[in-house]
Amino acid sequence: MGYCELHASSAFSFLRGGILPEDLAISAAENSISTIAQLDRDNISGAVRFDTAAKMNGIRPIIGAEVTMFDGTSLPLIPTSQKGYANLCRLLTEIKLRSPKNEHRAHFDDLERFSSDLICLSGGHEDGFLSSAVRSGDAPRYAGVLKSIYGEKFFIEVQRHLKRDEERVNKILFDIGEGIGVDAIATNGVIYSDPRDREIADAFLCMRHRNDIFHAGRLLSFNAERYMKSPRRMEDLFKDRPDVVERTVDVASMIGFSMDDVGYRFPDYETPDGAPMGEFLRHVTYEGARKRYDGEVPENVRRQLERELTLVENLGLCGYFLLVWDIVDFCRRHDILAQGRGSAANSAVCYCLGITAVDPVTSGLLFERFLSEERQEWPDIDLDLPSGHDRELVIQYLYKKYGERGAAMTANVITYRKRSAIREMGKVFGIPEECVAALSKLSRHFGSSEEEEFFAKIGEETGLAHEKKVMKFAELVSRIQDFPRHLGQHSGGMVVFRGMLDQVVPLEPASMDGRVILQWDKDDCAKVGIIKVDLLGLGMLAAVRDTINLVREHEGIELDMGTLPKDDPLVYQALQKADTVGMFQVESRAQMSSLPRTRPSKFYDIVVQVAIIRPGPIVGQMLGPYVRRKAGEEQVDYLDPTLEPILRKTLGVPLFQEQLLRIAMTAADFSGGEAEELRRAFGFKRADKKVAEITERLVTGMEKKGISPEAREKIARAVNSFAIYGFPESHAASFAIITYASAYLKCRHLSAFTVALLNNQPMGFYSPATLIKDAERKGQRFEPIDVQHSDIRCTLERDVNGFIIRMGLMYVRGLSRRTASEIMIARETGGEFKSLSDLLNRVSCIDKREMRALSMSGALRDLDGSDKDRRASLWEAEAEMRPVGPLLKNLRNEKSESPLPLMTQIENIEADFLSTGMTVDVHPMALVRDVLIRRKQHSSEDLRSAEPREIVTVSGAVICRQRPGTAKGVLFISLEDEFGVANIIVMPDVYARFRRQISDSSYMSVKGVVEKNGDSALVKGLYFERMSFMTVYAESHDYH
Amino acid sequence: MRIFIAIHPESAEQAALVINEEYSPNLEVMSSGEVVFDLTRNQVDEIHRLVSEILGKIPASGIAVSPSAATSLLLLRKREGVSIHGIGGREDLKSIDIDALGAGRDFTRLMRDWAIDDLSAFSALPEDEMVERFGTSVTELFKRSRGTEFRPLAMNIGTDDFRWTMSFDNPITEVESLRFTFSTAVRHIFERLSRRCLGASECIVELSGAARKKRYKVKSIVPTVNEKVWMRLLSVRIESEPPGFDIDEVSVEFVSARLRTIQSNFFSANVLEPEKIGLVVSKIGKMVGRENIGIPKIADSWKPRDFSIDTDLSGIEKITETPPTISDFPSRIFFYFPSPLRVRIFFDGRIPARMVLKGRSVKIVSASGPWRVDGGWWRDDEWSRDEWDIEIEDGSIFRMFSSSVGEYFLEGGYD
Repeated sequence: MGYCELHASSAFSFLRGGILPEDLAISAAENSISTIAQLDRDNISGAVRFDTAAKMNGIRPIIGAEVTMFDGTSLPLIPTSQKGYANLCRLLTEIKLRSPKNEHRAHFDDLERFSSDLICLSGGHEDGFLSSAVRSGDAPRYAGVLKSIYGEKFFIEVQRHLKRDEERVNKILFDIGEGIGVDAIATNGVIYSDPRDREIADAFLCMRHRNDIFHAGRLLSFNAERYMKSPRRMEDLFKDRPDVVERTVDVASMIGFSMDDVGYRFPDYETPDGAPMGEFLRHVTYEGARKRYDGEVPENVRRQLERELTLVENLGLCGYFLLVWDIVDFCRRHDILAQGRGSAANSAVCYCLGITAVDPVTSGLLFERFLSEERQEWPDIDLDLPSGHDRELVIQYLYKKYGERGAAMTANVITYRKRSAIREMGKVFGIPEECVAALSKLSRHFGSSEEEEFFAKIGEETGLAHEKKVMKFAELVSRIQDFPRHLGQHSGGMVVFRGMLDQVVPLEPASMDGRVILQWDKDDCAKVGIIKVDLLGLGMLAAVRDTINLVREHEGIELDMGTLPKDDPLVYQALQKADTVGMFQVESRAQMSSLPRTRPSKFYDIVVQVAIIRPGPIVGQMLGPYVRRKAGEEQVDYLDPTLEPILRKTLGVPLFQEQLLRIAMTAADFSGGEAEELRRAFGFKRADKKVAEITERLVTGMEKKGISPEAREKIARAVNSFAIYGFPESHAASFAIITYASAYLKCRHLSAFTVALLNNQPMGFYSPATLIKDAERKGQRFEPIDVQHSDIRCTLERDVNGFIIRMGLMYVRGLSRRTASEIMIARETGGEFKSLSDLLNRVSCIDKREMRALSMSGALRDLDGSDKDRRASLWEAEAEMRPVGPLLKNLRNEKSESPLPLMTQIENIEADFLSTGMTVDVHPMALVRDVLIRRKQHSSEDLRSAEPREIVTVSGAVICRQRPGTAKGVLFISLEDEFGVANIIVMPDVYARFRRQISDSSYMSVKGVVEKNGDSALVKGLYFERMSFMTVYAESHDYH
Repeated sequence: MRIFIAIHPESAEQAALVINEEYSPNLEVMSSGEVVFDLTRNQVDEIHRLVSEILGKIPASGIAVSPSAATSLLLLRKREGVSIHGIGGREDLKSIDIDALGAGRDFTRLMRDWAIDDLSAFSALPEDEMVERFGTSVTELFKRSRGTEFRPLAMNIGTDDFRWTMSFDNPITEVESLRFTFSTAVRHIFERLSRRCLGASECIVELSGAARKKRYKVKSIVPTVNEKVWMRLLSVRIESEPPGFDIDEVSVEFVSARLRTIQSNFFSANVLEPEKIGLVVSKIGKMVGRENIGIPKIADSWKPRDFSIDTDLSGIEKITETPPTISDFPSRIFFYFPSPLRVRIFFDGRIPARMVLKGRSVKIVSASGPWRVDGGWWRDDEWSRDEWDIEIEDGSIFRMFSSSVGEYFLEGGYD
């Protein structure tokens, strides 16, 4: 006898299942179950993960889904063929797309429309369709209907969870089955692997019903019997009906579908005049090449293009390349900046099609990193687009072109993190809201390695350390980490399959109007062989676009991102001084601390700089050697002389994945495809066997090439390390272009660039307040928000001394876009507002709150020609906003002087931050500078001349708190004052002592020891104190 | 000029009595424990002396004097110690936070934006212009901020407090004497209750004597003014739990409640009067213990035999809903044994085949199970057990369960 488990659900049955798909597969293997079906509720989101894990564990995976029926119960469906799978996907898509989110239901006619090649089970005991109908008396009728829809593929499902009532239902189900000639099968309705995991399922159930564990009562599970049971245990449970267990094997044998082929084919592209796709691709590629190379395509480029085009054609990818070309072409036609990133930049075809901006031939990039015949995965082209409106235009273009069911965004599986787990488990265990809020806030300050410390804090904070419920709360918060919570929308992954995507994967509406998502995330798509195009919104591209437009409009200079003057010395001076606030990819605190040492002086240095300050190279210990070698403090070493050409540009430090591939190709005669296979083998978890095999091949290859044993060992070690941590050069090169552009625009067109940055927030590392103060230090002048002059966005004004930036109405918190736009329109049509009442008469949509917001922001100061105090504006606004009937309209009092005290400068600045998040007034620290000088404190500027090991005190506004995982618990704080930024480092023990001051202060004083690193200085903080002269500043960039 | 004093005494009841007897019957006891009273008939220039005198008689954490009851309360809540406003005192409302206006979050926020942070700043604003901006309702705020808000006192002493206390020179040693004392107290208090058209729902009796005290709480299932019923309830209660010492002082307090409306016509249901049910319940309670009598409630839990007793019988009239059913199927009625009976079970394989109950061996002709029930994993008393339904030769069906240590018990039988 045998048993196949045909009904199990994972945590992707959101808030139902208590087991991850991978663990479901492992548990099946451990319980000697050879075949197991994962049927999640209305989705197959966990299917790819389950399929992969099952195969790795030698289990046969079956994929299906439980469909929510019209009465809220569930009906399990399992496809027997690819056609059945398509039907299941279409059924799920149909019911989801036609209903508001989470209100979908299937009816019998839906089942009928998509019924072929699907096995239907009657449903489990707890909320199965037929079991529930037994209670209502509808079971015989419903069973008849299902039999008529699914015929021989309909089975009665019986379960035994040692529950008294269940047996009565089973008896009725057996009788119904016998009555209409339907066989029964046994399932266990598995939702967790171990009885102990029932706790997770119970907690999820409470979340689903918005109840707590103390009041959930009989909603909770009766016992813990829905764990994975072995065939032997199932045989034992059904000793009286062995046929229902045996039959599971027969049913499993009816299923011929596997996730190896979900029916996805590369999309075709409709060429003009119906020309073959390969021919058309060749045509547009060479057309682009001629443009790229000024009419004459060099021979080496031609050779590379031919090689790539042949491969693209052989792999049947012409449609895909044309699809991406079509998107880029759309962008070009609509004046939208678009630039490919990632490994696509290794392709000359992509370069010539205008998809990428880096010339891979002259840059010596490696095509195999992008595409090779040996590779089992399809290429992935990522396009950076200006975030916001432009990107939405492109997305809607694709929806329109390929139809609602032909294009969708990939999903993003949102998982439980510490904060969300605390919040939701807190409700389950009735933890007081204030405790939950405190713990949630506190959790940000504990790293992943401080789990125990944090959970001890839970007991402390709740004051109930020894209560079982609190222990269980802490335990479950930890246990549900990484469990899926719901499906979100990926930031840009788009899949296209002309009108038929819903046959490959179910689609569902996204929260955002007009968007459809598919039920798999990007990794799942890659594993199943679905090609996606990532349409990523990049704020900096929008800023670059806006800067170019502003420069054209105000300076009369025509700029193009692709043709900016190369190697501008101003750019490199700024980079070397780490004067990089607002520059793409090089503005972070870590970048700023390394720039003065690496001192970039040419474009390729930027490529390296973009790549090296990342967790991978830092963990892989590439940063230190590179910085020392760049500073001339360490000898350059190439592992072996033959590798010098490959490693010369990174000073002997293997940094890029392309270098790894070339090393394997040079030192061990690997083909390009084999080398890529080597890289990927190291990147996969649990691929030890493959790694061993491929390392053996590498070493043998090097031996044959006569490389010395020492060098062989060094190379193998290096390959092993940086295959995991290395960064794709092509990606770094693509980003470096944007970095250079942003740096150039900042150095040469500061006013326009700052306006563009301010108009495209949120983006980058720093708040608008910091961007403004940084620009001010460079001489940029700003004018405050003013209803008489401001547009919605920030604008450039000019006087004899140059450009002034006028802050836009968009910065007034609480002012709707509609009102801001009405203000602009009224001003454009009727001229400046003469008074407050004039403003109110002409902008009718303005409400009281908006009026107060405008008053507090100072935007009404110029309404009657005087520099009106904000409180006076508020006073007047309240009177003007009061509705007056027609009879009394003319009796209104004459305007009286405001009796309110005038705002002081400090109050004005505080009001700026509260109402707009920034100020164009002086930096708050300047207001207390005299006091600080008297106290002999250092400013950020003074720190440059401080001696190493000198004890100093610095004060400033906290603009950033960072605790990178690579820093072993060290915290980095940036304090801003009117002169610049002081960098503080805090060791873990000091952080533990001053956690609250550090976490809660907007302004702080730090006493510590100066540490110098070349020209840059930082303070190792020893003592922290909150400053209370002002409580608000821009929001700090914390723990990102 | 009117004079109002607000005081935060240690005991509002004691303070109210003292104030009532010695200063003014025009007083209000606040639910938060403060007492406000009107001292208008006193001389303004004597106010300081009076304050000292009051504080000498009534231990209090704070006292405030003002021409307005509302302001004296406001001062009492916002200031510590003695505050005198507007009556020869120098105290004003400066530095009392603007929150004290109680004008809502939006308005308070706007005031803060205006830098109006306290009542004194608010009161200095031009009232007519404020009315123009916020309407006439703002005048009340001005009065509050200036300490001139009018607030009539709701003389509630005695409304919430229906207490009667009697001390004895010769201690009471007999139940009969105690009963007589009760009847005096009940008559006295019910006179007051009936004047206010109120009944009583609960009676608290405190007996003191020779450094010992005993407290009794007697509840009626319906508010009633029937003195006889209360007397019987009190007697039953005292008899079931005699104080056990000589009594020097008796304190009787009734909790007032609105009387129910009684329909007295042809359609009145022919059921026992609630008062009589209350008496019966009380008598049973005397026999089985107060904590063991009440309304049984099946707990919403899978835990076997999980139920609770709601000893608050005041809601007995309202119980009309049917208790939740565990199963949607028609089932046989199951009776629990008062306590489970221990049995020995002999198995044939895994199926119970014979049981020995009180030395008698009985053949089990059929058995279904095990049914497993476990839960309460978040509680200290989590439960887990296996159950069987077993049928013996005479057709009786029992529910049997195993304990965590492997013992077997019969829990009850099916009808």
